[in-house]
Amino acid sequence: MQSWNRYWFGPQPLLDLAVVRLICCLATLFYCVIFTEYMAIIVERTTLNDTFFRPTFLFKLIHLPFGWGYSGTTGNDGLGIWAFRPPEGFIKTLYYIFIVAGLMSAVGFLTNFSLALFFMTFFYLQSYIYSFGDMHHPEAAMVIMIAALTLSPAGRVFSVDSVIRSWWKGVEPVDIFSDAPFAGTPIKLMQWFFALMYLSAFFAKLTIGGLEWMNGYTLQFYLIQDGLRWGSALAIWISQFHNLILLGQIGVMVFQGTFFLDIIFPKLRWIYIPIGLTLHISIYVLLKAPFFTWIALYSIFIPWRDALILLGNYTGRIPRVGSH
Amino acid sequence: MPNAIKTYFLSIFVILVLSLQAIIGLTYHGYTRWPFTSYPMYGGAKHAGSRITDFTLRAVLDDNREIPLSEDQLGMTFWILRKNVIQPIINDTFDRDSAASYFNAICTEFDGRIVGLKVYDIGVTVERNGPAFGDPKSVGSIEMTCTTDTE
Repeated sequence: MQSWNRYWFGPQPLLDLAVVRLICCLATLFYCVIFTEYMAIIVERTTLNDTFFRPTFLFKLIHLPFGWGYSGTTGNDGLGIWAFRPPEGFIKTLYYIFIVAGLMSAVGFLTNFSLALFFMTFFYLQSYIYSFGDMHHPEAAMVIMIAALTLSPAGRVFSVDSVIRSWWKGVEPVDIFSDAPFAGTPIKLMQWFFALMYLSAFFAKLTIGGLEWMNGYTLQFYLIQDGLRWGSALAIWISQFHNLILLGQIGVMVFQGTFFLDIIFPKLRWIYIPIGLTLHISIYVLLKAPFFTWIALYSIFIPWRDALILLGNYTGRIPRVGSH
Repeated sequence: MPNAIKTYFLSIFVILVLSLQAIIGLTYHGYTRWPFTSYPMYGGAKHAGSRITDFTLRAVLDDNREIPLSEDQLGMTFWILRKNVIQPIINDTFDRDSAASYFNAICTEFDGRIVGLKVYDIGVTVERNGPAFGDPKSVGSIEMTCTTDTE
């Protein structure tokens, strides 16, 4: 138990947590509001017939008290006991709250409250969007991360809250380079979550495609498919290099199957993190699969405080801060 | 919140999140357990000659002409059309009730002359040196008329 508490809840750099908070919140807002155009998707979903509505399990659970019958725009009844469909106005209102909460979370104003609101609206909106028979993978990890940030001292430093505490209330500011209990919990949780996501991908390839998955033709197929579908001339051009692609496929399997090693042996991150970033950037450039949220989440593998100290040649002592 | 209580609460949260992701990530290939999901993207093995699984939807008119239909005409995004219309036609699980909501619009556009929907692939196969372009092949169809199926 002591080892468990020490690993998950022992003192870790507050600055690392704060930088991750900023990056994750801004990346989520960029991805949802600007890149995927949440509002356009919401409008499209609200026009779809009830027969398209197939809510996710947690979405149904949230609405359990309201699940008897239907109260949406078409007036149809009979979606069943668990299938409350929220009205368009409610969804659009949540969207604007989502944006405001995201900005407040990014700058660290009323941090834990803002993060809680950001998480709830993000979770609700994305669950709603994915309740029509279509689901994709970029957002799940980020939703979990924001939930975890809500439960941490994410606004203790590098935040509007810390400025308010020191200037307005006269409280001595927390050293931006200090450690604190619970500051590492969201970061470590998401590191292991990444390992599990990659293991899931590795396992799926083994069970669906078998070892034949690594035959070169598989990735050529997806390069051609997505190249034609989304207009990536580069993907079509690369698809002609069978042997190079074959090596790439073997590399992907090794990367995904062994990624967990860099959590156990942190020095391996010098290898895995650049490879991972290259992989996800390439996936976007070639296959147009936008895993920007994962790229942003890779910030959890970077020791920001230590990097800054190294850059700034800071030689002061790192004080410990108790939690409240 | 006292440290001990916070520690227990967060321990439950950590164990719950990682356990759910581990179990669902390795056993479940649907989407309804989001945000806990598996990651089987690009998981199917392909071979030389595999046909690219990209599709077009066409309306069949009463004079046997086939007219391509776009997402915009049906008021859907690419993936909604793919998963709720195209894939069910291919898999023979098409739900005519769900079609009524968007079918009315295209019936009006074609003066009520639609007698069916057909799905074609794009006629491309994967070969060692890249894509090989051939003729599209029909991969699914349903009969559907504007007067009976859209009431």
